[in-house]
Amino acid sequence: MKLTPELQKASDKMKPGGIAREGFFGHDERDLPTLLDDHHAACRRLGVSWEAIAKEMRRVGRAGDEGFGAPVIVDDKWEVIVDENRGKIPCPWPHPGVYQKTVYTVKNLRSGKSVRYSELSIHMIYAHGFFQGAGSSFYNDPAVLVDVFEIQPEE
Amino acid sequence: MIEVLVSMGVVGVIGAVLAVALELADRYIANYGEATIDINDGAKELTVEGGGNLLGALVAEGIFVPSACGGRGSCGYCKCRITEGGGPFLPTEQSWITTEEKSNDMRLSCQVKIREDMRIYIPEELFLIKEYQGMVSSIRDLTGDIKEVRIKLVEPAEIEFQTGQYMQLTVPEYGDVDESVYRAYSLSSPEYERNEVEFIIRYVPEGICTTWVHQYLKVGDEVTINGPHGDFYLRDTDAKIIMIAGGSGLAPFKGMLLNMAKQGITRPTNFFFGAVNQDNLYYRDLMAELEEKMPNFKFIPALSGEDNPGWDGETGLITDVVDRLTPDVDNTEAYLCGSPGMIDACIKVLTKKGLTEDKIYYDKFS
Repeated sequence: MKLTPELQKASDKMKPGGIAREGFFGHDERDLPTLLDDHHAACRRLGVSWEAIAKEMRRVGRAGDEGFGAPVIVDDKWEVIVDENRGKIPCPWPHPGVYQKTVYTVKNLRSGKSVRYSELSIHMIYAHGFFQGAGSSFYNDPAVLVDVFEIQPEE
Repeated sequence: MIEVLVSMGVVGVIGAVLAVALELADRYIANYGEATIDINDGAKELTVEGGGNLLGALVAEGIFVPSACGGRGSCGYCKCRITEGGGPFLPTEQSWITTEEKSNDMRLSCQVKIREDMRIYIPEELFLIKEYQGMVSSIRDLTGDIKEVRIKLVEPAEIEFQTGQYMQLTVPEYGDVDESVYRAYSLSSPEYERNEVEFIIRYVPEGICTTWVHQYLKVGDEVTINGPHGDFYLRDTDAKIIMIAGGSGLAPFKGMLLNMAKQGITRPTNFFFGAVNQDNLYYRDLMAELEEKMPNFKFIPALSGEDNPGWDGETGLITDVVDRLTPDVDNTEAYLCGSPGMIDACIKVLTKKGLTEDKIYYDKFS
């Protein structure tokens, strides 16, 4: 993927201190186009679209809203804790929209594996296929998300 | 095929170069000279250097139009009416301005560039908002992730506000944060304390402001705040009061209750405070003192987590507790502060009981 002016702007905002204190790249040394290429390739290998992953993250996460911070069991498969924080954060890509600083922690009750992600994570995966750099606060490997949410490959 | 792709690439690159050149020329070469901004039909007139955006010019002149995104065009809070000199409506404003607002000349002030004289309209109360220089007088932990921060006002040394309103805290450049930003927090101090203000601030993972408050801010540091903002305050009626909060949403209620105690207001008041476990409860001693001072006041903490050994108070979701312990809503007002999910769920419970929405006042964490 080419580093277009739009991706360059997004990449600049993803640096530490841009719109999030530690940024979105973590300790990952890959640039944004390479990360996107790698994330998209990972989804293709898994046979699952990033939109499908984001939809399940949103569906399961939001089912935990009713706990107001206490654990909620969703579909007898997941324990979900939703932490709604004050404030909103914009997407680094140059388009309108701000996202509530909500943090979801989802644990698969069968495997015991858990993932932690934000409302913005869901948007960035759904709209841009971006899972963030390894080591960043809300990075989740596509394969781990597919495993935790038990998402089956698409036909 | 390759020739077509190469041609498209060349055209794309030329377009990008021209766009960058135009932006640089506009920023560094274009000279718009001075422009006059007429506010509210002559209520105030500013003379500013053209070329910058309207929001920045107003803030620089001490008119604090609300903004949560620092002028990035991504929050939609900085709307104002521009009847002359606003230039064409921009695509970046499209998502935030409704068709009706557009027909009423509403614009996003952070997106409007000052190129000529302008005539604008803003709410009168924005003239009352001031910038204050202060000094941190105390910081203390209330829970594992909530701090109480008190700021002594230096210049101006006094503030007038209505208990429950909020102020914006300016976060300076620090660490990797290379741009100053500001964030809104409810005042937790009562309006009779005019020389010092207090905030209750919960740490937000990755939050630029809350990280600064929790990890960098020290007693004695100089800080800049502006306000007061907002219309969340106790209405002057004789109605019974229901207060509902979670987490740092307790802030405005602390001020309101201290104010009620000081003024001898005896309106029956139930304050429901939701938390997951006992570690998330704070100000229990203060609430007990207020219950002693105010016989009609009751503090009702409720825990929703399952593992709370020794707890003999209310348990369950705050919505269920409010529902269970509110027999009627006759002559009642409700005040809510907390997460959007909690507030929406509580509004449903209260309206189902018959409380009309015009008697429900709230400050959502948004």
